Amino acid sequence: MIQEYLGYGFSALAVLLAVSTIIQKNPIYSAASLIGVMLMLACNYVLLNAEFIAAIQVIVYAGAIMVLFVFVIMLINVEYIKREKLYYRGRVFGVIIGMALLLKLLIVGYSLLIKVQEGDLPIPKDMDSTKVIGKYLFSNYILPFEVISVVLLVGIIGAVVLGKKERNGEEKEVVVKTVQHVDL
Amino acid sequence: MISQMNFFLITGLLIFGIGATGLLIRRNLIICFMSIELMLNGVNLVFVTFSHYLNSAVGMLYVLFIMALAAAEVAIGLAIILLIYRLKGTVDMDSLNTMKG
Repeated sequence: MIQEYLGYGFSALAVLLAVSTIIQKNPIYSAASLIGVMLMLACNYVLLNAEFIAAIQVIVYAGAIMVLFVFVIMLINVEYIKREKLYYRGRVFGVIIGMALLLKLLIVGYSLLIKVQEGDLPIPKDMDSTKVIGKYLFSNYILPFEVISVVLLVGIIGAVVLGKKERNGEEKEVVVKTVQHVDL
Repeated sequence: MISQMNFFLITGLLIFGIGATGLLIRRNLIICFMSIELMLNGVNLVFVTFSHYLNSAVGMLYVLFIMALAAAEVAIGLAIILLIYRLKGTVDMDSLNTMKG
């Protein structure tokens, strides 16, 4: 019973903080609200018996991704961003379209009767979620697991290449000279 | 009275919708990026809810993959935003009109 009320509280807080994320003028406040959303969702995951997902949510999302966001916000001049005008006529249409999308999703979700009683890869009664994830991740889902590691590697390399400062002309000349030397 | 499962599903939907709205109304690149993260989080909540109530591990596995993809996406996207800031001196979407779109 208490878990039910906790779920309602966490969900309501998550939605409020999500609204706060998109209407804050200062990106730092937005980032703080987003961290709050992620923590509230982690609490919801604990209520849904997915403790491992909750831990990963806190470590990866609230820990790693948001730190990246805050770093970038601090690298960028915030004074300019603060002057962004928040309310004008074009925004109203954006809100209307967004709410229409939300309404459509709600109607589709409501009219869709979920007939499935039990999905694939059942969770045994005597196993916790961590054990189940480990079991299936390294047997049934081993190929996606390997592919996702390649994607992460591509992400690392891409970030390094993009974040690198552009070389000056003289440095390029040095590289060319070295190549010529090797040719001789 | 709606059931607990429907309540979690509606929460995930609301967070997704709020993220989509934020993507439409904000012109700041960083906040648009945060809205994308909000949408991903809403989807994750729906996945975990179905995983719990249908007693299936598929939802939780997919959430793991979505998180890994989100991490890679954020690393590259923020690098691109920094590059744009270095080139243009601003992160306003309306200033990115080189392609006359």
